[in-house]
Amino acid sequence: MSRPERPVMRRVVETLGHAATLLVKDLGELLSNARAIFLALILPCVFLYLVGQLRTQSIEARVLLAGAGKPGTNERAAADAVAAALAELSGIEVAVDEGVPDNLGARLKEGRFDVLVLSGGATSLLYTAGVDPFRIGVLQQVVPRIEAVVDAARTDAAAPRVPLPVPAALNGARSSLREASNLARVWQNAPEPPIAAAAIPAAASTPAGSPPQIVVQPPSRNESLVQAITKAESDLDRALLVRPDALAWRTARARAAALEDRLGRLKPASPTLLNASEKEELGAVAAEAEAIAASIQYDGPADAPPEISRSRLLTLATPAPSGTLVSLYPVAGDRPRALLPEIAALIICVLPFVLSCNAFVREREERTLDVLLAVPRMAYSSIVAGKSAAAVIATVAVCLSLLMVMHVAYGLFIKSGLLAMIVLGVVPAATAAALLGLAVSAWTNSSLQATIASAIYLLVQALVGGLLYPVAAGTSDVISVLAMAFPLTFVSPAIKAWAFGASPEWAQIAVPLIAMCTCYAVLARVALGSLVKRL
Amino acid sequence: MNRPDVTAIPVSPAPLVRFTGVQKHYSRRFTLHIDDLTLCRYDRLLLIGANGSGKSSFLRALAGAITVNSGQLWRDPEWATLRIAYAPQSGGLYGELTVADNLAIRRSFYRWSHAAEGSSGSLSVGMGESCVERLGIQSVLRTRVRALSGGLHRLVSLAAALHSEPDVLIVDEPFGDLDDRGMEAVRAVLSEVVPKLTLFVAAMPMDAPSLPVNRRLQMLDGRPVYEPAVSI
Repeated sequence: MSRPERPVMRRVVETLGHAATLLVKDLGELLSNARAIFLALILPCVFLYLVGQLRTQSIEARVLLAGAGKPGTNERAAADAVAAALAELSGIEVAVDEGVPDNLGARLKEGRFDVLVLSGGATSLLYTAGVDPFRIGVLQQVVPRIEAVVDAARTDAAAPRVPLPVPAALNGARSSLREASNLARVWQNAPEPPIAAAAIPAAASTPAGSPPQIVVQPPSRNESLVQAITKAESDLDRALLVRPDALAWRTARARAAALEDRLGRLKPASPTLLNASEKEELGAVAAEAEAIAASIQYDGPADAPPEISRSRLLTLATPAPSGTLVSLYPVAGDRPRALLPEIAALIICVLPFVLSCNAFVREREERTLDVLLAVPRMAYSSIVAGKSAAAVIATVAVCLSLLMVMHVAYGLFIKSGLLAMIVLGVVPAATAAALLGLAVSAWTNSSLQATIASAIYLLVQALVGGLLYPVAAGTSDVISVLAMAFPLTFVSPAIKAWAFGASPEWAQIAVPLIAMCTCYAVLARVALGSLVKRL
Repeated sequence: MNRPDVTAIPVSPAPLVRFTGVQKHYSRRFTLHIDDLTLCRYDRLLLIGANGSGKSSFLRALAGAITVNSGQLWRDPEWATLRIAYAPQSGGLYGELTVADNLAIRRSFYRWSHAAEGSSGSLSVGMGESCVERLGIQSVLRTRVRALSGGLHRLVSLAAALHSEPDVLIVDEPFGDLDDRGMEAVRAVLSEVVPKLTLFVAAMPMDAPSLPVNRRLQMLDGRPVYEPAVSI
């Protein structure tokens, strides 16, 4: 006797109804006691708050310039020029030795030096005593930069050194940059939103001798400005922001060109950082910058299109400084604040996995899976849908809480595009993570195994997603393919960009996430079928 | 001993489930090995046997909670239209939820399964709400299941099954962990509902005489050993 076919609508109603019941049940279990609420909903917010309080140790390289010669000699003058050039680099401390010590190793160890520069030598040598691979990696990137500065200082020794348009005294105020706020706060504190920006690329990414690139943004395109700044945050060291009440954008472009010219002659390997919390100091800088700009007349075409090529996520100190040109700082220097959206994205991708990873294990241990399977016409897809939906709803609630923490505590304001971010970013990412967790849950046999799987998932995702260490382009194919399997890879940059004011292309982010959801839904469905066969 | 009144039991020879060469094994050890067995609508089947004889595996396979490794477990298409309630030997309830929540959720599953067609059972047990009172668990309705004693857990598990107004009731060891009062309540409830449904129950031999059944199967090393039909 063949089984009578049921109408499609009836099957859909059954599937949705069963899924809804499971959803209510799972949410009920999650919210059933204070500890569960604390662990799943409140603790992530507390954790995120603590991340914002984190003060990471800055990477500073200690450089020994050995064999400088005795004071008063030409050799020493050249070495001093090199030392002065090095001192302008951020995060560099320089010590000068007259001669080269007999026991050079002991001297390096004693002084905890990372880089040795032999005066008159051809190259620098990295001698770090550090064991942290991240620090070593940074130092390896710093050494070529030091070498470039040393070479420039040696070859231009005869040329007059033009002082940077920043008082040298401000170099000592770098630490206070930690207190700087992010770009989002610019919009709030500025009487009017800034309309133009000139971004100076990082010296490390600029070929030796080539002038720095300056980007100017026209007025009335604030959203584009922020987006442009956010997209290329790895290339630039600082930017100049032009206030609308003082300059028209075309004038700003001329002034930026003047700055470009001056800075190009300076070969500015030095990303001079300003203590913008000191209003007077900043005002002096702004005055100097204005003086430079005032000497230049713009003679370009009136309708010249703006160039938006490379820019960087920037930071502006509070209170909002006066003046027409305001220096901004890369938020990369404020690592904890930059971490906030990344950590939020990580929680969004990990929480649903953890919630669902125990789902089938718990049902098996409580023998409730037997009862579920005994319900007539209980489709596997109902079980998968109901359980994943519960994890996703809980995650969205947590996400909103995290955004509130970032908004209230750290000024990363909730802004337009929230709905798109939730619907096209958070929900697909959480769904993919939940479905993957269900597949793993069906595969594991005990709570212990599920817990181990959750921990491994967290670590792998944080690693390949670039949270622990930034993953360089051109990394191994294995890592690249693995990264594509985790939602964090897609949703983290998007949430980060959104948090700092950009407008990510959510549709482009949602497509791979939805494809991931489809794959993991099939996987979870197959895994559940396999689990039932093992029962 | 009071025997239940079963004069109202409908007689239906139509096969509902048929086991043919069914085998279920875990790690090469057979827990179920049934060559040929047919179960019919309105059967009241009692499974008895020693621990590990395969009673629970039989009921789990019957309920659809596990699949079999080989053979055929055929179910009449009518099976999918029936309310099949299964009370496992242990567990079967959501520990973090209250008793009332468990009852409501269990019932909700069946409501959706039969939402479009209503209750298909020609004879529903009509004990949805009253089973709570009859089994004496009304005082723990707001208590979390994980806080219940073993005996109360057993009663709630049976109540959850009955609460869904089943057409087919599959109960594994209904008297486990129960005191005399609880056992008497279970006997009374089963006796009341048995004329209206199909019952498959596993129990220890000492509990068997008090159950209102008309068929018995002795399980021995996973194989059913037939016993003559019981006249009740």
